[in-house]
Amino acid sequence: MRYFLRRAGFFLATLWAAITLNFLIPRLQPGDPAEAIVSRLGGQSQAIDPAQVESIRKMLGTPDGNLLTQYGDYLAAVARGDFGISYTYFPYSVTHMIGQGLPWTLILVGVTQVVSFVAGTLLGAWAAYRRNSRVDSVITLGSTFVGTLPFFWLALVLIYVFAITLNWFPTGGGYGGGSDPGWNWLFFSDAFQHSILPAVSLLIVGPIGWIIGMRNNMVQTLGEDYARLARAKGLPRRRVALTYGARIAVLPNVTGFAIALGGILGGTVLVESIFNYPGLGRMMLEAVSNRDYPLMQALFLFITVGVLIANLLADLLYGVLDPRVRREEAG
Amino acid sequence: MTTSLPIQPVDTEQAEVAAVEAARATKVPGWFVILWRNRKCRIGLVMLAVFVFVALLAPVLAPYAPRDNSFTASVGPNGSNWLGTTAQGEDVLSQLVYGARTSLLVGLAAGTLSTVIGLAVGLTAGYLRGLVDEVLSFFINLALVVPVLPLMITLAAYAPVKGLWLIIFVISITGWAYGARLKRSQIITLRTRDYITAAKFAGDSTARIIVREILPNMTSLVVVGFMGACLGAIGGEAGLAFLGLGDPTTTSWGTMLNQANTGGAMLTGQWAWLIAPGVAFAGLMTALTLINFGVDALSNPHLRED
Amino acid sequence: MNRPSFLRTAIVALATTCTLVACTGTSGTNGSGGSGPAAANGMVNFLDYGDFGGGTAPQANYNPYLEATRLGAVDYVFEKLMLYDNFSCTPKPWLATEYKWTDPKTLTFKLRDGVKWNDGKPFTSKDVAFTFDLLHKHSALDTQGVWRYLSAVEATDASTVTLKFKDPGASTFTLITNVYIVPEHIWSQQADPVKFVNAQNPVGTGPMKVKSFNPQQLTIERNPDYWQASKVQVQEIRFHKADAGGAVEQLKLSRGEYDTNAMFVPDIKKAFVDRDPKINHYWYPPGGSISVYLNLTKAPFSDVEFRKALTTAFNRDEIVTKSQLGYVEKASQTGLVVPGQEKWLPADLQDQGRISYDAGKADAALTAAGYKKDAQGKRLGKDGKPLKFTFKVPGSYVDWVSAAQIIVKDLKSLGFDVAMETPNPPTYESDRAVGRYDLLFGVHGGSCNMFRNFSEPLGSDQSAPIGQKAASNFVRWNDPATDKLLDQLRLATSDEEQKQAVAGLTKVMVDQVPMIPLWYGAKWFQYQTDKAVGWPDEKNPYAAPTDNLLVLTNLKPAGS
Repeated sequence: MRYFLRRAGFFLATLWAAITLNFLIPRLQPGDPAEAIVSRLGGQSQAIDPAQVESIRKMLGTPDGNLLTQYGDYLAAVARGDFGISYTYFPYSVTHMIGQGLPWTLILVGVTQVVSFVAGTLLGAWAAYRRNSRVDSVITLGSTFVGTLPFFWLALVLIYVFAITLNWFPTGGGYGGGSDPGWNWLFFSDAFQHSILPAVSLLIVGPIGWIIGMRNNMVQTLGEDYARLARAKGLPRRRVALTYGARIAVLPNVTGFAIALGGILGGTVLVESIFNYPGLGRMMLEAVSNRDYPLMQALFLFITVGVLIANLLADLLYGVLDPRVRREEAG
Repeated sequence: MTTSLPIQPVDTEQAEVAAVEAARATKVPGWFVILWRNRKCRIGLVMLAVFVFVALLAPVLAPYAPRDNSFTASVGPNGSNWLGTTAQGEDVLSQLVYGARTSLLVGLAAGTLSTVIGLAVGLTAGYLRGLVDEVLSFFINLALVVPVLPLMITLAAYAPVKGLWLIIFVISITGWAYGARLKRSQIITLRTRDYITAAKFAGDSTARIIVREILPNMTSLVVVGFMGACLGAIGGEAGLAFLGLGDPTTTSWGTMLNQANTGGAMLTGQWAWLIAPGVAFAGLMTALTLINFGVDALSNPHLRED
Repeated sequence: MNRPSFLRTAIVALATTCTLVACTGTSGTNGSGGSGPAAANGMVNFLDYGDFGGGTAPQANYNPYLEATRLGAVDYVFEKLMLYDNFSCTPKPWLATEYKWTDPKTLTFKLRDGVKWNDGKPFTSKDVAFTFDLLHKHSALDTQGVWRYLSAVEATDASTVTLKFKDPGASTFTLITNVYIVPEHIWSQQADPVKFVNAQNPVGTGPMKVKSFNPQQLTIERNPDYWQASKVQVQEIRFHKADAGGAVEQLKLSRGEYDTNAMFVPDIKKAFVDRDPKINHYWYPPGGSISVYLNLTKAPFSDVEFRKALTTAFNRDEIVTKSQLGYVEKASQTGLVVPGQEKWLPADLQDQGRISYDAGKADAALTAAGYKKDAQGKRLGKDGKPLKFTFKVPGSYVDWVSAAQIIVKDLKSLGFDVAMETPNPPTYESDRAVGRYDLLFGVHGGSCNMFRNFSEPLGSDQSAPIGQKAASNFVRWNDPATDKLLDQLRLATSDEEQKQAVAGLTKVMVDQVPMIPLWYGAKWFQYQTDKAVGWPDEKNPYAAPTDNLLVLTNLKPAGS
């Protein structure tokens, strides 16, 4: 019980730390969002119009009171789920904007993560099962090499070859301008076509961590005494590998997967900005570069909470699966 | 950054300790023997040596200065510019050669920095336990769950001055926690060993015990952590630079890719400008990953090749 | 397990295709213009335009006063009293047919007859008065800051509006005429006009109506009841979200997917024009001056002789060709944008105030002004110590960084010890505003409002002590004579008076060098002539490319 309480306590403390950090970041920055907006509108080679800055400053409003009351107001607003109005999309609310981006990120990255996990775990298990064979070398060396390619470069090369040179796929975006987002076939097929290149680039690098992790875990579990004993008892090799090796070796991968799912939102910045995918990662980058503090704060919080919840779940799962963890922490 | 998730076997601890003790027994730098014996690792070490060589001799090897923009802009590979030129009329090959310096420097500096931070925090927490441990562990766990890439972007975007050291700093302070956690758990098992207890009874100071008795037993873990941190740092620098958050006046493979992307390399058909930095980057990462195979074997005897 | 081999194939494929591209280039076919140039009714069927604003995930927003977040359709739906041709800075009658200053503080507009809102209701003087009152009540909407100068706006009769000013108001004419007029019958219903997004069928008087919108594409269609409908020969305009920016957009442009766009393209000739020289064109008219700002509160920059000596120290031609890729023009020291604003130039000026690079002259002038070189070639200050300063430039503005490198090189060759710093843009802006710099770049001028062009960078009321934020006078030029000229310009009631004041101000710029203009920022503009002709260009600069309605009403189907 103490283990679970500690986990929950940590969850709350981290949440508080993340919210506080969020509150502080904009207040530590130089510059003024209104000026940032005006200079972005005009571009670098246009003079800034003070009247325009003034009107935008009025539009965005300034927080009242001293730092402490602002902090109190901020905590209360977050507790209500009120993240304010986005500067980039004024007068649309931050919540509305997150609602716009969330499905795209969840579907693209969620699907590719699951596929990567399954494929990676299977390949890793196969490599471990055929350890030191040609299959093992191909899988481990191949995935090592591909894993070292910079992801954004891979994505650029994919765009260059398949979108620009061959013109098979669109260069970016979530869907074309001709189809209207909604529950219709045209839109879905269009969105699917737009998702192929980003998905492929994610699927090329995605499974590698799982392959290496699974292979190494399983090589280890197959070397443990119980697996050796099973072999000595004359159980078939395949059965030993599956029931004694893979089943146990997959545990760390499963908890790792929970954490990875929580980290989805944070990891999509690159893929979404290269493919200009209309999800939260791109929105995050945009919010940061536009000094859109309300949007940035909410996204950062959203991402952190996602990771936190995933970690909490993974910890709890682990505590249930492996009692030793509970005892060690309590002792 | 997107290379591989840091998934480690749960209890490498015993294996780790066994490896370290084995190395102690042979009296040679045991970890290096194990590394060199591993074929993949050997290839990696040789490749890394080549990159280091290129980086050190960049002024000799590069045909021109990296920022010399006196060439015709955006031309493909030719006799005088083997990899063509950038949109600003600079020589791509020269930038590539100088870029090796940046990547290695970032890897070395950020790798060292985050290893040192991780070591300091991990050792203190693990050795002192109690309240100090509680507080430090909280920070370790906090740093582990804060999403790294968004944090790096925020820090890099809002820092007052851009520069390579800023990037190194950002990468280090976002990347130390994982190593700290591993080191903490290892020291917890080490501190109850007989020889430590003996040293304590002999009246040795805490600092002396840590430096003389505990640290030597953690060499391989430190090496593992350092390699991982290097990989992460080099990837991190390239990613940040690619997103345009690096220092455009630094010549690095990441800034090259960023400028190739924004400078219309795909449009003018100057493909070498786009391809070369990626290939060079992959080569360096491969070298480090291959070495990491050996390092993994160091910490996990099951993975050793004989 | 075909991953590695797949990759190998991909790389091989890539290498081959790249070589092919490098050799032949992709064909410059016209991507989306499948249909014939003109539709049956003698109109251009549709035109593909570039981005429409509103961020990467645009939301429907046709509130013309929310400049930061409104979508590009606003400029085609709403109209103004007069429309400025921002190239030559001449006003054209638009919703108002004529204007008159009855006295220096009273301006009356006579409104055009027969103009209708696109929902069929008539446009009257009440709408105009309502619009100005709206901006008065909600200062967040007053993006031109007109109520700094206005005291009252009334509808005198159904087609006349009278504006009363606090002071003589001639210098604010461009601001007044730049206000979008909105319909009273819609906007008076809104509880909070600042948060009104006007998303459903925005009602305006303009030539186009919103047809459809999604975050990728915004389509506007011809308003058949427009008051000068015969001049609008484009049936539909489709704006396309600038997908990935940069390279991909440039590629689309070069493939002919846009009929017009406004973006930076490296090597525009090779990437765009050469693909089809007959129909692909560009015109980059000059915008505001980009200048070296010297911190006038510090020595030696406070010394006018020192500043004058520096005017010939910078190789503007090298900056123009190298860092600006030859897209821009050298700037005039007067602060005016020539040739567009040449009618404001004083007569006796050599080469319209453009100054040539002459390092020898700069060297001699510096030495004569008391800044000698020592034996090692280091330039010394008047106190005999070597002069050492920094040049700040935002690290992410690649072309500015490249220009700064040339400037630093030029300064070093004169013996100065100069270091370049590359902060991020917000830090740069805040350093510039509070005066924490030695040398850096600033942008000023370029608008059609001469008072703004000079008062913002030079007016002492736009300045602030070092350490506090200046509004726009970042060099901290504090000169009573300049302020007097600015006051003259602000209160001038005739063109002649305005010209006199401007001539005085250009003299300040030339003789006292508060800043050193280097080049004019370019306004990007690319267009194709296969579907529509009549775009403004160098030979026929009837408008700036950003004067959307002037351009639209001049477009005709190709071949007609």
